[in-house]
Amino acid sequence: MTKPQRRTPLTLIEELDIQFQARLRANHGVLLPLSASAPVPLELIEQVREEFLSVQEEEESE
Amino acid sequence: MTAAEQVAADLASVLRHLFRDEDRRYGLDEHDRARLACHVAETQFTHPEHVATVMGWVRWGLHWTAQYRALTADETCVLAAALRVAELAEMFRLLACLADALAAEDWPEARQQWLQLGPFHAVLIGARPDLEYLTVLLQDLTTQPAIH
Repeated sequence: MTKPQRRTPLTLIEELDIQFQARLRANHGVLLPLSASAPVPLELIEQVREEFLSVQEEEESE
Repeated sequence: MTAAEQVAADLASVLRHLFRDEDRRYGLDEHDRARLACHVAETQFTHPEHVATVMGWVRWGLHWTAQYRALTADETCVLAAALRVAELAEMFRLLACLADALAAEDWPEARQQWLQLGPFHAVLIGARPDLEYLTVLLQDLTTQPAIH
């Protein structure tokens, strides 16, 4: 099944925020220096992106 | 220093801290930093939601830094600046909601947004003489029969 096309691409800040939130999630909400941080799997970034898009689409449809 | 100069200085202080990122807290690589620097230069970084997001990173970053070591004097100043800028971004976000409600003539919603702007009423109405238009607009809003 193909995913519905989003109307507008993510902004740079949104993309960076998704990376930031994924890193927080990988570290259980704790923001550590990069050297002490758990690696962030690409799958987790993708999951956070999907959640973000889903919330945004809901807001746009309201 | 005027309020506008204070905001510009606060924003510059927070962005300098973010770009320097001595503890590598924020996870931005060189490519991300370059893209962010271009974005700031091109847009003047005035979008309230974007500003709020970035202030959130810095607040969270410094919050956690303070859990494992004392913040430096510079970091304390950056945190204070991030809080001030975040507050202002929130004010502009609420103003945008108020403007939407006014445009839609949704008076209960407009009233709700105006009440949420409560902490900023003095700033909005009293601090700047060039906000006369807003003052008149809000007087109109508060005299709408649907609100009272």
